Amino acid sequence: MGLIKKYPKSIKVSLMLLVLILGTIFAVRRVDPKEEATEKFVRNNLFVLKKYQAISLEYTGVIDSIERKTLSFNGTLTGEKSLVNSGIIRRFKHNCRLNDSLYHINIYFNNKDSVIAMSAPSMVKY
Amino acid sequence: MSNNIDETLRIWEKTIDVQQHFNDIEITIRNYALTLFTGIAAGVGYLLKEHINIVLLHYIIPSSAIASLIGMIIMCAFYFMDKYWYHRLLKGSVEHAIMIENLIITTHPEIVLTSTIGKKSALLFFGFKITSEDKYCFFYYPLILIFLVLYIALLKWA
Repeated sequence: MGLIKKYPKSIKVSLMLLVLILGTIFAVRRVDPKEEATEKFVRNNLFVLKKYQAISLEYTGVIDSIERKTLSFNGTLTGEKSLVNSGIIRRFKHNCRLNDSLYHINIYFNNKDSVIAMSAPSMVKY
Repeated sequence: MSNNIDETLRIWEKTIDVQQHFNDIEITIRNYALTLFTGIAAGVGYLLKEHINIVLLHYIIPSSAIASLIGMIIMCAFYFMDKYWYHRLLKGSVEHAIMIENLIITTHPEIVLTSTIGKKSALLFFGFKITSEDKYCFFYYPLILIFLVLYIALLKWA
């Protein structure tokens, strides 16, 4: 007898299918509603539409009152301009590809998980 | 009697040719499997770099994971074709050649090629005897396993 002991041959195939199904159930991810909202917002507000490709969205913190004031007077913002009365605003770094170059955009979410503003894209430098 | 032996030898030669033919086919299948493995692995890398994801019913399906799954299915197909298709034909021709060699062993003791190959084919690995049936595990299982692990990892993190 060789290395492999005698057992029903179908057990290997069944085991592999089981691992495949369980692995898929374990590993598959739902779309993050924030990522979906970000993508929609960017597509609606950037003119580089054809070559836009979302990559990731990372939480970078809650903005403080100083940043809030800076942002409300910053001409690069799109969307709702006045952020003063928007409650807690969370800042996310959105990595994306525009015209085949990597950029990051700051995306601002209110406490209802809606995008209220975004910064101008800044090219990622290596 | 001499005519009979000549005919038996011709049949033996033809059987060896058939063995060679099936061996060639199996080697070709393994070559294709390795070439495709490399090609699909490169494709998975490219798709991962490009970060192309498909959203299906609110679930993220990375295209690199799909490529890995396809790679796994292709490797399984090669495994099936090799082990359960041509290897069985090869085994048939080997058994036939051994039968002929046993028939003529008294008149032609030098014609024991298939029997000798059969004896030398098996090897000992950590005390286990590994026959040609088991050698498939060492060739195809890692290829299939790599794609399976890649599929789950890419589905989770890509």
